[in-house]
Amino acid sequence: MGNSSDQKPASSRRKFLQTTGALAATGALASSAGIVRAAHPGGKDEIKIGLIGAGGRGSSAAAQAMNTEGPTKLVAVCDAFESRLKQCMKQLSSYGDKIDVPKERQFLGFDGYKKVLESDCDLVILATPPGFRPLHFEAAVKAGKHIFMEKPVAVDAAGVRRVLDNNKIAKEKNLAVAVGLQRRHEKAYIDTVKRIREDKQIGDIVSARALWNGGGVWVRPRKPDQSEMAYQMQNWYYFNWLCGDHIVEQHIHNIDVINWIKDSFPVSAQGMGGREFRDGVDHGQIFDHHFVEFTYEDGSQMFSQCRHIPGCWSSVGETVQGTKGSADVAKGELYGPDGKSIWKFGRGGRGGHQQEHHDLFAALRAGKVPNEGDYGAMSTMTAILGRMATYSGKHIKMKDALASEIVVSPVDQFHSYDDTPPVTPNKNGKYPVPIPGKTSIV
Amino acid sequence: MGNEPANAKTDEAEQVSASKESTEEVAVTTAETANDQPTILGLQKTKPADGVFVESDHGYMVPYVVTIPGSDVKFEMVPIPGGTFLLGSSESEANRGDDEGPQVEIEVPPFWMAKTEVTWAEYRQFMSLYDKFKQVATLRTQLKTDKQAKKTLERTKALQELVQSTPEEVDAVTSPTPLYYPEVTYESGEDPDLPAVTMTPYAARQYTKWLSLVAGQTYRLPSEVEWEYAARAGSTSAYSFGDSAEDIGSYGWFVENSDDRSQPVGKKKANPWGLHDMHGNVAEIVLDEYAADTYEKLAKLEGATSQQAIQWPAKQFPRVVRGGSWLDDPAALRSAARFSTDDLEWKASDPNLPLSPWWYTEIFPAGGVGFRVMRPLEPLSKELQKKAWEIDAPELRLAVEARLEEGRGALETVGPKLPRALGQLEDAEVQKLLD
Repeated sequence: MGNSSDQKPASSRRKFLQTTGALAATGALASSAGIVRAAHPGGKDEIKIGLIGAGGRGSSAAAQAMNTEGPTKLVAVCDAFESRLKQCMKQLSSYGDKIDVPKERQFLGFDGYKKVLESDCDLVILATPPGFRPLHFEAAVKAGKHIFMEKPVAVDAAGVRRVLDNNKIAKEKNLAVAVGLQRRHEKAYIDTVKRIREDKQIGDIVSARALWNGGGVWVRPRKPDQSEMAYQMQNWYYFNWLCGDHIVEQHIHNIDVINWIKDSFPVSAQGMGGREFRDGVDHGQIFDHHFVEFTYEDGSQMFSQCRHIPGCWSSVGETVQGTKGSADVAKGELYGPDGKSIWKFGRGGRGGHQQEHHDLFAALRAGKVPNEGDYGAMSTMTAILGRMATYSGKHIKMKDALASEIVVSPVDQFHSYDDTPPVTPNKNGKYPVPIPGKTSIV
Repeated sequence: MGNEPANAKTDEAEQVSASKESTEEVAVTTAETANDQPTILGLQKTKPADGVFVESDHGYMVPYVVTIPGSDVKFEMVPIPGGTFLLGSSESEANRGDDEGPQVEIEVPPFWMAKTEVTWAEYRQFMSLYDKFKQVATLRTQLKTDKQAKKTLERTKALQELVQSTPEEVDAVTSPTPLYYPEVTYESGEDPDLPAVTMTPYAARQYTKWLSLVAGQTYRLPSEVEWEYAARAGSTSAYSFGDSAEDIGSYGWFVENSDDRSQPVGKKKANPWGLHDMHGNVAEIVLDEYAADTYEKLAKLEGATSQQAIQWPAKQFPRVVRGGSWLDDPAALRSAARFSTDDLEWKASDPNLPLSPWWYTEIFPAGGVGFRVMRPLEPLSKELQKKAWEIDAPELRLAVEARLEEGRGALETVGPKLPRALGQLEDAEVQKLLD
C-alpha cells in the first residue's frame, strides 16, 4: 500500500512492482517535443478527436485518448441521449483547453454521428452500443477518419461482413483502425502469448478454455412515458440487436485471446445456453449463460463458458493446454508437463484501456497506420458463431455463419425514438427469446 | 462471550406475516437511554457474572451478536472500554513514518467494535440489494401503467409502500453496482468468511448506513483515532503484542504467511480487547481524510476528544486506511502505521467515466483493503449520521449522481421494514409481474 509520508518505510516491498496505468485526470498537457509528422490529414501535430457515443465507456475512451503524449483536442461529440451528452461534457471539463466542443459541435440524436464525421476531427472514437458499429465504421471510413472502435464491432454476420469490407477500404486509404480488445496491448498478455505462440514453450496447443463467469451487469428498468425505442436504447444490454448477447459483448475478450494464441479463427462450433435466472420483464431477450465448444482448423478446441448469474462461481480468464505443458494466460503463468510453474510474469503489466490509446497515438505520431479491424471483426464473428450455436442448438460451420443473411440489427433504418425497434414486447411485456432446436439463426 | 441477546424489536418485526402489517414504528435514530429502553442490544443493567463487559453511564456494555435482518448472516460486536491514550508512534519506534507524530494524548469514550473485518457473507447482503432495487424500480413503472400491478401490490403492503416511495438521499442508500470484472475483487476467493475487499470508502459508509437502518443500532466506520485506540488495546508498543515483529505470524496475515491472498477472518490470535486481524489480513478504511500533518494539528487542540479529532473529509481522496494487509511487510502492520487512498491509481482499470463510486479495480493495493464497523455508545445524532454515512465530497456527488441519472446506479429508501419489503419480491403474484 502507498505509505504517504515521503520516507516509505512501512510500504510493501512488492508495491514497487506494481504498475498502474495511472489516469491523468487533470489532463495536463504533455510536451509535444520531438513528434514525428503525424499520418493524419493536415499533418499538424495536434490530433483532433471526435466522439460518437458519449456514455461511460465513450467518455473514458476520450479521456484516455487525451492522456496520450502530444497535443490532442476533443472537437465534436454526439449521443442519442441529451443527459449522456451533458454528463460527458461535465466529466471531461477537467481537461481544460483540450476540450473544444462548443454547443454547435455537441450533436444529439441517432444521426449525430454524421455531424461528428463532418467536423475536422482526425480520429473518431466509436463507442455506442455495438449494434450501430458497422454503420458508424463504414461512415467513418468514408469520411477518411482514423478510428478507435470499441468491441464488439457488430452483432450479426451482416455487420461483420460490412466491417471486413470497409476495413479493406480503410487500409487502402491508410486509415488507422484500433479495436478495444485491450488485452492485446497489455504487457503481461503480450509476453505470455509470445512464449506460447512464437517460442512454443508449452508445445503445440491442443485445447483452450475461455471464461467470463460473473454476476451480470447493470439493469435500466423501463420508465413511464418512455417510447419503446428509448427504453431499448437505454436498457440496451438486454436486446440482441443492440448488444449481441453477453457472449458477444463481454466474453469476446477471452475468446479473442485464444484466437490470438491460435493465430486463426474457429471453423465450427456447437454449444448450449439459456435464461435460467435473468428472465424478468426488464431483461429483454438475451441468455444468461452459454457454453460453447469451438473447433479450429487443426482440430484443437476452445471450450468457452460465460455466465451472468449472481451467487455462482466467478472466474474470468483463459487457460491453454499444450503438448509440453499448460498456461494460465490471464494470470501470466506457464506450467511444465508435471503442472509445476516454469515461468510467471508476476504482478503488473495490465492497464490495457489506457495502453491501447498510448499505442495508437504513438503509432500515428510515428507515421504508422496500425490496423486491428480484421481480427476485431473475426473475433466478433467467433463470438457470434458461439451465440448462433447456443441459440439454435445446432453444430454450425463458420463459413455458413459468416454467410448468414439474417439481419439482427437493421440500424440503418433508425433515426429517432419514434421508430419501432426490430423486436417488440408481446401483451405480457415479454420479448422473443431463442429456443434451441427451434430457432433458426443462419 | 457469544450469548445472543434477543433483539425483541427487530425479531418481532421480522415475524409479522406479509398479510398482517405491523403498525409499530421501530425507532432507530432517536437517542435512547438505558432507562426507557430496557432491551438495548449489547447493554444490560446488571453486572454480568462472567465474560467481557465495560461499565458505562448507560449500563454494562457486553459483547453481542447481530443477525443481519433478512438473512442468517451474523457478526459479533465487542465492547471497547473508554480511556485516554497516546495517538501515533514515538520517534524511537522502528520503521516509523513521519506522519505518525507528534504523539497526541486523546480521550476516547467507550464503544463497540466489530470483532472481525466485514466478510463477503456480510457485504454480499448489501451487494445483493442491487438486483432487488432494480426490481422495485420495475414495479414502480408498472404501478403507473398496469392495473394488475396495483392490485397485486395491495397484498404486499411493505413492498407497496417501498414502490410508492420516492427515494431521497437522507433515508436511502445506493447499492454497489455489479462487479464489472470479478477477477480482481475475488482474487483471494469469494468464500463467505473472507474479508470483503475493493470497496470504496463511500460504499463502506453506505454499508454502515444500510446496516444501521435495517438492524436498529447505529453503526459507522471507526475514526482513525478510534481505530488506533482499539488496535493498541492498551499497548504502547509497535504491535499490540510488543515491539518485536517476531510473533507477528500468530496475530496477523501479511506478505510472508498469507500465501499471496487474504485469509478467513478471526483465525489469528485476538488483541487484548478481543479484536482479530487489526494487524494485517486487510487494511481497514476509516472515516478520516488523510493528511501528513494531521497530528500536528491535533497537538494544537488542547485536550482533544476523539470526536473533535475526526478529520471529516472534504475531498474524495486521500482517505486513511489502517492496519496493513496480506500484501504488506510487518512494518506496515504496526498500530501507528498510516496509509492513504488514491482513487485515480486504485481505479486505473475502470473502463468508465466517471470512475465507479463503489469499487476500486486494482489488486495493488485495493485487494488488501476492506473495513470493519463500530457502534458508538450514544446513538448517532442526525448530524453525525449525515457526516458518517453520506456523500461528503463534491466530485463524489457528481460521480454518484451521474451513475444514478444514466440508470446504472440504484437507490432506494432504507428502514426497518426494508427486509420485509424486499422479501415480498419473492411473493408468487409479485413474481408474475416481474417475470
